[in-house]
Amino acid sequence: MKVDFSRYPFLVSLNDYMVAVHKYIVDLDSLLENKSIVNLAVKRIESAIKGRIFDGRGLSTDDLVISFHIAVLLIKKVNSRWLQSRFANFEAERSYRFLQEEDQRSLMNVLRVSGVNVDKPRKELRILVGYTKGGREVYDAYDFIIAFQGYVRYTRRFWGEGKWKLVNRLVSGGFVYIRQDELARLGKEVFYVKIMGMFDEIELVPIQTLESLADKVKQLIPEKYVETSGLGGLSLTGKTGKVVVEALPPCIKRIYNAMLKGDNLSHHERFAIATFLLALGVDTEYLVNLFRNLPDFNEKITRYQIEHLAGKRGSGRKYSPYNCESMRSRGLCVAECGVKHPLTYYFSELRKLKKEKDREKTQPASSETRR
Amino acid sequence: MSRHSSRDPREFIVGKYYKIKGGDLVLPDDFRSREFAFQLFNMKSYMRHIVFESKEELKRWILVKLPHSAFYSSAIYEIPDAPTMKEKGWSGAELQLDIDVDHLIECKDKTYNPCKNSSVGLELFREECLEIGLAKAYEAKNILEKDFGLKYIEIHFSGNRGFHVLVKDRDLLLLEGEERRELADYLNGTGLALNIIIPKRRGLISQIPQPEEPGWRGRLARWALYLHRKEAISVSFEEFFWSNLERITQHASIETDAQVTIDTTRLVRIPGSINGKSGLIVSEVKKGPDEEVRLDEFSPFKGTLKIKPLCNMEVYFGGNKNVFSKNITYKVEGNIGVFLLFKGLAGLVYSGDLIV
Repeated sequence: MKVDFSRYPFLVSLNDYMVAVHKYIVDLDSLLENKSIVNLAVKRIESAIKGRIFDGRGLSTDDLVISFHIAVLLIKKVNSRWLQSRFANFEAERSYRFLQEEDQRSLMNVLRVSGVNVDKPRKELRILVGYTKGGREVYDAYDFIIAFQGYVRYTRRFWGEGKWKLVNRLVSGGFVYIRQDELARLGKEVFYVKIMGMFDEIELVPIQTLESLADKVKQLIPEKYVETSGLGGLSLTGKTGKVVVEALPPCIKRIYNAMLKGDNLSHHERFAIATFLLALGVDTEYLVNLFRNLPDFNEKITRYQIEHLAGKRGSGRKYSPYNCESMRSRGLCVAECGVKHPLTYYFSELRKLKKEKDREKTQPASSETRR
Repeated sequence: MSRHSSRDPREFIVGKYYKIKGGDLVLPDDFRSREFAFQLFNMKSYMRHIVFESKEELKRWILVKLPHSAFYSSAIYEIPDAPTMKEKGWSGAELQLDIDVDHLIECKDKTYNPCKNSSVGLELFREECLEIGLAKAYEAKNILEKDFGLKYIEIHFSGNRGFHVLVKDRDLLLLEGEERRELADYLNGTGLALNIIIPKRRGLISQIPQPEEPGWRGRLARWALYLHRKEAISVSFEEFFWSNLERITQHASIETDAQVTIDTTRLVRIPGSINGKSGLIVSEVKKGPDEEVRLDEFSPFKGTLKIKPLCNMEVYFGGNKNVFSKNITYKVEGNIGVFLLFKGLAGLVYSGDLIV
């Protein structure tokens, strides 16, 4: 069964596609000379930058597959982690819309080609969950099963939502039961990971046209995302507003670094870092700027949510940051720090750093270079 | 760190054991791709990044170093003796579950301090805890087989406080730490949301789960059945289920230490090696889940040992309560003698009659 590559262009390499459809090996030079296809690629990137899903209606499969791959090449050349993640996010979203419309067989086929071990159970699983007042039986039905290794790999950003955690799933014989809509949602994540993987895998060949096109794409990136130090322009050491980054506990530092790189964060990761930094006294502006790096950033929504967490909206209740136990249960704890709350770690590190600084001040003659 | 010039008496005992049983160390087939690590007596740090070409070579090393504890890595590396993780080239790790019997809820009231009215503080557990822990280990194995379709699972006595469940299936090797945590959480019931697995919906009279259903629904139903039968309560099963749900969940949870499971660069105690915290042997458990287990089964020592207890104490070992008085010299059986010595509860007087 064939996959419609115009919908899922990342499931075929440019070369394989050209060989299969046109019987010749791709000649990148001449492809890049083709103005209309290059323009399409740039438009595709522009859509992502502007936060829109690329609309490819009316375009041929050739146009759609080739423009996608040229876009990937250009972004790779631009070398902006933010743009990579942003593009992967919106392309995955685009393909997800198609995936939701596929019938069961095509859905399964697309995911298999994506490398997911998915199947139909030998017998459909029906769980009797209860009865209506009239005595009618009510069942939950599960149409698909997916190997648990793939399940835990692709659901990690959803674990904050209880229903995706493995412990709350029906698991048997190495497979997790999953409903059709859930499988499509998981598929979107697979696509995102796949596209991000392409940026790591492809190797660039030095072509002059590519260089100049990449420069053009760079111009499209809003100033605030242009990477100066390779970390979204924000400093990693020393004071950032009121926050001393060196003193952050490992769990928060990990999320912080992921944000600077422009990685996509889960809901709980966002909640954890926002409430933690709010507790340190940073203002909304600082946080909004930090969240700008995320591929799905929307200023209005972010601002609203941060103000909500800060207690400036809604109930007026300020949300407190997770303690270590809560971090752990959400899979966000990354080290054994010997404290019960990440804030404790921060403040004790802060004291340590202060002491070190004071010592340096009193012994200015030391020739040792500090890291 | 400098070592004491005179050897620790425990090293003689370790040497005695390995001279006879050094060939009994059980290594995985791919041991050349693993890092070995050792802890020596009176040394806090580990000797790491060591590789061995043969079992003979390992035995010779051990007979020279007489280690407190001996490990190999759960991880497989391209260059196992490289000094940093990056250079080692991690290429997968077996999955490990750690069940400390003295942490189990059912064992809470079975831990004790052997020293009566003394400042020597130490927590031991009564031997019944071993059976409780082993039953948990078998449950974990059972769930891993049934729910996850895994096949190559071993249960090891750690030599001290509990059991390790080692999963050697190859298609698990590449799971990342956080993905492993999902497995541990699944076993332990961490993050279990009863309102998700037994949904309550408007206008719906909820049905209790059936024992043959997959996942936690089935697990809860089976435990509820078991407890209802065992406690022979007159209330209906359905009523019992709803009113005891929390307790049923607790029984159905395994209680492994998730920190061990998520670690993809963990050290595994070598089966057949001596655990320096107890003088007992790390070993694969062949007994079934309902059989009696005692500490003396894991001691290779026979003959006798002369020791002097450091406090007035009662120690549960070998199915007996053993009572000793401080500063009196006792001639005891080798197994308990070595145990007390390694636990730091007694000093050595004479070890000439100890046999392996």
